[in-house]
Amino acid sequence: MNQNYIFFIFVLLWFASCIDQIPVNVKEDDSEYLIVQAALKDNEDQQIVNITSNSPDATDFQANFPVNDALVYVLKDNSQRFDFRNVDDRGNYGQTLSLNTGSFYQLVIEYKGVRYESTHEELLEPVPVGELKTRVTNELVNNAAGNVVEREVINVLTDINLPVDEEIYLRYRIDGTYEYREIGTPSNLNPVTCYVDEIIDLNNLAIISNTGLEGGNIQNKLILTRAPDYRYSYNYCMHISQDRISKEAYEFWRLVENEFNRTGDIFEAPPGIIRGNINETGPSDIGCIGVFSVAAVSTKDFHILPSAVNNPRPRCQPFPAPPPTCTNCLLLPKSTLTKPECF
Amino acid sequence: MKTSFLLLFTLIFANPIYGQIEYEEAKQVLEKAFNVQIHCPKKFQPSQVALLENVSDHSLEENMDALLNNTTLVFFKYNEGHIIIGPENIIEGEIKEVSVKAENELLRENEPQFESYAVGDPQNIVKVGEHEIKLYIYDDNLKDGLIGVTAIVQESDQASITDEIGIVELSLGTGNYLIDINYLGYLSKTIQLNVFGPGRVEIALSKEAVTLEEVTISASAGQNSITREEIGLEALSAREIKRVPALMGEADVIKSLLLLPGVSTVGEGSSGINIRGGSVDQNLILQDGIPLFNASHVLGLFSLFNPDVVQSIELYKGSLPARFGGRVASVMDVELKEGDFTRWKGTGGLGLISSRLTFEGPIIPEKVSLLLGGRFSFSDYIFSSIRVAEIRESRANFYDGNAKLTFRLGSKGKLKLSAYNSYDRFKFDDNFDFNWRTTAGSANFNYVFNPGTSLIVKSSYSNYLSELIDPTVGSSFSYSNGISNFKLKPYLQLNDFLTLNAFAGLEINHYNIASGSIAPLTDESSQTEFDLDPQKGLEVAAFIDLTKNLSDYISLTAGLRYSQFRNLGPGEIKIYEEGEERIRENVQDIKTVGNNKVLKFFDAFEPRTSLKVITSPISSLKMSFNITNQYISQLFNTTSVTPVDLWYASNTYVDPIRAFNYSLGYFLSLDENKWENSLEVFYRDIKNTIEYKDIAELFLNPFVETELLNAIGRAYGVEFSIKKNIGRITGRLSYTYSRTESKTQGIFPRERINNNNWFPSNYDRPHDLSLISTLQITQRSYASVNFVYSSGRPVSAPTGNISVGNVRNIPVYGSRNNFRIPDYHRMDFSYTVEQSHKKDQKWRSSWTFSVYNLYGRRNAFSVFFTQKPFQSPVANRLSILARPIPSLTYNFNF
Repeated sequence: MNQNYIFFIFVLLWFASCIDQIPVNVKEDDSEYLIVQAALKDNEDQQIVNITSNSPDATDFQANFPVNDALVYVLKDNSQRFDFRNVDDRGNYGQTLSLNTGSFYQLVIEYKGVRYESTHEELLEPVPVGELKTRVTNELVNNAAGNVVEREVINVLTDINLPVDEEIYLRYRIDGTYEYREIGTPSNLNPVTCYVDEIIDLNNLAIISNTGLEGGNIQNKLILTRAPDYRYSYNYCMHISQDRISKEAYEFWRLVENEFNRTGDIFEAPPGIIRGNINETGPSDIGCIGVFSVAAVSTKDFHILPSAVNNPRPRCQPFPAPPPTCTNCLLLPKSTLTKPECF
Repeated sequence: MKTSFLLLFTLIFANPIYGQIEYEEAKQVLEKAFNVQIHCPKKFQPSQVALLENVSDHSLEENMDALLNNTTLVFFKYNEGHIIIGPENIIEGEIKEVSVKAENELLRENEPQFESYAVGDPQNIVKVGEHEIKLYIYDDNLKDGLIGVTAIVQESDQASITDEIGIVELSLGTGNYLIDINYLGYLSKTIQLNVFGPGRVEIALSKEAVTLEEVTISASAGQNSITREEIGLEALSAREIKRVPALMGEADVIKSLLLLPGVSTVGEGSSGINIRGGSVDQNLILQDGIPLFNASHVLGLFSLFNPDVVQSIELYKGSLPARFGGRVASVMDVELKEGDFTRWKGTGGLGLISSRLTFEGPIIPEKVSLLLGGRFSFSDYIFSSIRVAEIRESRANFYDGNAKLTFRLGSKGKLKLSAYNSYDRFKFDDNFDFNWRTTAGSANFNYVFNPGTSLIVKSSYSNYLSELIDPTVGSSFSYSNGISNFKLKPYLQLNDFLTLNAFAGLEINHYNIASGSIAPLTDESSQTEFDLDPQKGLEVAAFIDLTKNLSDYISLTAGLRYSQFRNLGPGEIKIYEEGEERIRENVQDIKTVGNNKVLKFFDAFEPRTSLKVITSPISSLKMSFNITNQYISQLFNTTSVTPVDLWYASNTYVDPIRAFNYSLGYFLSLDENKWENSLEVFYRDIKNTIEYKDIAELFLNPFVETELLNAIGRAYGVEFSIKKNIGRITGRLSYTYSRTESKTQGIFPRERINNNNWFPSNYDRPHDLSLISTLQITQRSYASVNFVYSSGRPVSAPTGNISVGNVRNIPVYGSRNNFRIPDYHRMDFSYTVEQSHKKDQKWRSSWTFSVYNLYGRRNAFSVFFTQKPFQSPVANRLSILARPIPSLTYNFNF
């Protein structure tokens, strides 16, 4: 829609418009932020908090610097304290902590004399994952040569009926495992099948809320779009994790989603700092960006069969010469010969 | 290249000219050849003129065209056998009339007969300094003061026009003067004024016996910047507006104002203007006294004002008289024409995307006149012809219409009724559909009790409604909001009241703001119906402006405005936890207030002062200090306002904006007022301006106050202007250096923008330069060129990125507005050819060819940042109007 809107503006202005790239020459900006990732889950015992800081040098976009000298702890119901210790030198702090439904948790960080506190996050009751389904559609994308081409995509959708008497905020995380079948060759007389895990939701943001809706029935909510390829040529198992999160955490992800959808429209709200729910408690030159959440996780596995996605061609074919993984599928990262439960 | 271009057009449209000879000689040749008498006042006669080689082989008109080529003089035929020549630079271009008597005076140029008047006491002659002389100029028949009469002192070129009750003020030393008095539709006259001291004389003007078409000989410069009381007052005439090269040939009031110093915009295609660092909602825009709340068509590409019905525009950006209030930055007072009281006539134009037509004339001759004007766009045909389905179904159209009835009530009263309606629709396929509408009307009454006292009562109603439709299947909705205003403003204008000139009166404004409502478009929509509480406000003000000449060289204007504002119920007052951040979760209690009960009361004194010191006959120094209050503001955290941005009344959470405005200016006139130069500095200190938290959510937010921050602001700068009023080449060069900044004072992290340090506002553009020049090529053709340059406006750019979980490269924005988009510059050109200026021509027309953005500069409309995984962010420049845009417009009048 946004691209079309810009196109409309082009037409309105007699095709006298264009988008091109210009060099960024932001003056040195001394704004420094702690960047905190702290998503605690009730289905994990080992919880991790990651703390880094941004690059204050605005002219290059270096990776964030790990912060390894902060004091990090979580308060449970304002009474129990769980100290998180460094587990590596990449800014990761860990602690064994089982979350309890109905309890409130607060993350506290002390760094360079400043105390940062999160909002109090309650672990809520999990919500069952709704019905999952796929729909194959076509979309326009730029190919490697920069031309607009049409391609087929798989849309993973959910229908979910949420209670109407309380506000519910959900975020989806999705992993996948696919079958990868070797082919028989003179050097591989006994081809086997591998099961390969992969991260498929890099930069995918799927969040749902029932606020502002008439009733709690949400239909055809898109949670993932993928281009089908050889991974879907046999059987594909998607692992859907549905986190029930707080409103504050949801707001953080909603603003991030908006940020990724910018088009430069002059009526677009200007960008700003997406702070999240962790704030410094007093004046400080170092702000904080990030989110602390405690999630009640529900999971569901979902199979996509080749027939649902127009039978993609397997990667391993006798001709032309197959890649080495077609005779030794364990060369694939995260592959195993052990059949996972979902298969 | 420009010279070649102009030369080419000159050659195309002009006859071959042979030889330069003395004017008298050429005159005799032509009089003999065509058996006519040619008349031209001596003071206007050129020394050398061109004469065609074989005079009798050409028509009289061709010979006259050639004769006056390369001059600024024009001619018309009067009766049989007379040719009148007058100076073009004092000829009104559009409404062209002249009185028989004026012509006769031209014919009898060597037989001057002046009415003689005396002012002051001949027995007690004040020989030192200049005296304040007031001329009361009235209709001889109706005994009604005349507004807009021009008086020019021949000896000094001092010029001024009469005010709303017919008074014109002059500063003259003891002595005898000849004063030219001119007024449209009346017999011009020259009087001899014998000045013995300060005082007042009354001068009657008679209507012209016969109205001639073609030209008006009137003042060239009018009241100039030296003698004008106000600092920072810019005045534009309809003629000046029409001479500015325009986008797609559409003469535009706002675009013309943008060429003035201190006036800027955030970019093409954005609504509103920023004046001396004020935001767009800090300008009071009046059309015949009616406040307008959105002055743009097509999301800002064009303004609401139809140039054919505009009489004049005054922009107060420095000293704001106390009779204006409600906005802190400026007042733009657009006065529309009255219909002609003597005959029906019309004007109009055909452009590429819109057309316009205006009629005016007497309903009852000399008693009641009517003016009807309208514009409409027909750009839909462009969209309809495009194959892309989404574009074919899109729309961008508008119309507007003005009607004005003027009644002369006896000799002392006048009633003006006006109505206005405008409509815009901006639709993109099935994605969104904006439409907005302004409906307004006014009734203004003037009554002159005596030459020194008159009563003016202005009343108006203005209603602005906007709607956004999102037809997305499953969640379609219609969102609307608006504001209506009723205004009543009675006031007295007193002249020579205890040696003072005064305006004193009351102003009452009632606002009714529809804060926003959303409703599902279809039964299938999941959108719930929701209304925000409406807002009501009552603003009452009493004001007085006093002007006194302290000496021959110093005059002081002191004004005071006392204003009250009541935010009225029904409504809710949310009580937030004290000492905590104002967020929704911290609401402790909600108080409900009944209909028309006061939710919150504010009042303020607003002193307005200005001082003028005449430092020499050609220069003056002026300074002003004003305090201005604003009780309603518009909420928008986008770069440009949208049609659905909400007006918001000061309330428990948001205090009124209060600005302290300081101005100082030096004005210098050179070469008999041909050149007007000015240098002005200004500083504005703003209390309680509204800023927004990062990524504020303003849309239909019942807790919108949680997104707002009370901030302070400051704007300061220097403006420099050189204007050439007279000659073949006229124009103006303006340069402004200014800064506009805000500063929050928050305690909590989200309330501290840039750590409570000063940061530039969205419309902070330090350098702003504009040049407009018009070259009169022949008497009926001219070319205009303008060039504008300004610093890029600030935006927020990412200074890094973060990854959280599976989401990579979330941009991190550091300081707000830490980056400037590229500088803006553009050149436009226009060339206009008019028909020959002949008296007996019923239908007159002109063609204007213009090119907008002559050299195709890719100015940034906006800059936005995108980022691919594991790569640095990329700044994308969205440019609009990025190529030369030629257009052709046909204008006519009859």
